[in-house]
Amino acid sequence: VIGVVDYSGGNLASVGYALDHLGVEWRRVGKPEVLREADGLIFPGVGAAGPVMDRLVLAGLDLAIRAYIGEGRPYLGICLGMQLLFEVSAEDGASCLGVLGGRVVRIATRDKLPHVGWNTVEQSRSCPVLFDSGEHEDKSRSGESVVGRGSAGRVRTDTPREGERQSRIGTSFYFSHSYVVEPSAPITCGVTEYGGVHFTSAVCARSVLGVQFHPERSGAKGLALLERFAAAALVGRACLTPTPCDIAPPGVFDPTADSPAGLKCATGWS
Amino acid sequence: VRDGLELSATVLAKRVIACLDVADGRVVKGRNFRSLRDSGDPVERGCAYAIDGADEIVFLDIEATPLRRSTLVSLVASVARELFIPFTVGGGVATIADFHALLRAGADKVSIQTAAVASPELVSDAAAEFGSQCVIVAVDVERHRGGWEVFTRGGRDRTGIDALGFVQEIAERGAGELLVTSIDADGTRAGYDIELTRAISELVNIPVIASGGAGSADDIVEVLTTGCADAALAASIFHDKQYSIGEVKARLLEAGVAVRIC
Repeated sequence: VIGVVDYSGGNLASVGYALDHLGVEWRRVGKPEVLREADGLIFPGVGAAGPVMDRLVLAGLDLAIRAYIGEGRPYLGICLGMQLLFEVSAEDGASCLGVLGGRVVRIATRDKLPHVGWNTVEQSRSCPVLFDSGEHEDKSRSGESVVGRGSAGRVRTDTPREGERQSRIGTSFYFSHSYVVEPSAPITCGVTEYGGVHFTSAVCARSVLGVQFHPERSGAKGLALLERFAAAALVGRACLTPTPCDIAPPGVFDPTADSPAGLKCATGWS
Repeated sequence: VRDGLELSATVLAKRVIACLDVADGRVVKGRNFRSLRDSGDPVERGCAYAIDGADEIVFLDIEATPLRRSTLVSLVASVARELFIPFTVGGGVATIADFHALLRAGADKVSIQTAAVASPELVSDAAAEFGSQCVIVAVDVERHRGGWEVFTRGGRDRTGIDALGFVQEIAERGAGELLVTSIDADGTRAGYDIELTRAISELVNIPVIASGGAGSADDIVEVLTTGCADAALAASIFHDKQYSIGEVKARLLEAGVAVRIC
């Protein structure tokens, strides 16, 4: 069963409906005990970092989620659910879970914020759960993509090399945020550009995955991502990324270190 | 180490938003904020638009009253079960509790109009509680003495408030997006009020959704280029199948506007 963190404030409903649609069994996780039976955990996040962290602490879920991830069990953080994995957020100056090294900062652009709408995620490192194999190959333009010269927008401040956009079409997902993560270790696997800023839009580090966009609101491609996560979690694949990552800074839990005893880590599966 | 961050060359797409006016749980068709008739199931319509390539759907309950709030909440839940693209819901929203109920039922964003004029602190409170991204302020305006005046109650009541000053205050209070409807243009199919959309888009640093007056695909191109809108909302041209959303996107692409193709 997939657990969905319920901090009584956000978009639990849409993630739940998406899992229902996919036929995936799921349960609300509103208190630590429910985490025990979860094969995978999804933390769907909307809202502000401070109030949500307060609610997690109140419910004892902060420590429970840290422990869950510490056991190497599969986790997918969506938007705020990814941001809260890091050490500190510039939003409300909130102290976060500190599972991953790095911080959360406001997007350093003079363009409009929040960054709302459909933007492209380019795969900068392989992750078979976040990205379908072949999804980002150059072979076709048939996938859901953001195309166009972009000349009508006010977002571009630099000019891509001729043909660059055509040859680098990623997959389009729905974004809605003003803050982005800055990991201190090279765990970025998806990159997006807005207002002249390139930011990390997806991370993967062994059993921990995070996306800045909303797969539950991104049509068929988003549902497929959730389905791949659920499938990987339910078969007990604790290691969701085929390539080992570098080490997080000392004092911060390191999901990339050697797996605890007994953990099934099928490196290289795809 | 910001690994791989220099690789990307992506762009935020301009959005095409389909709007469905609803009353008592059914789709209705309005013109100049008046005259209604029943024309379908909101869930079915919304999903059809999503398949056709709509980037978002807006459901506006044009007859919302506190008594009917539960109808709107259950509509939101039905929509959220079937629709897996973002959707906004609005109509009669006046309190933090309304926001909570609608978001909890599965809405991605909630739009407020009359309440944002009557009590602008609702914008700040909702943004603090749920995040700016889900707070949409719908501003209905009419040209008046060389400027634009804000109207409330779905375009029925004039307020004497200057639209440009109002949107600035609302943006400062933490609204996530503005849904700007020209009462003059609405229902005419003669094109958006380009001057209005442009003036507001250049004034505030949050996304602007243009609404009112779409009569052709070229109108949508114009408001997203000359009009500087971040998104274009249309109801009747999609409703009457005059254009499909796919056709509008093809036209946008031809004009060099970044759009999501699916």
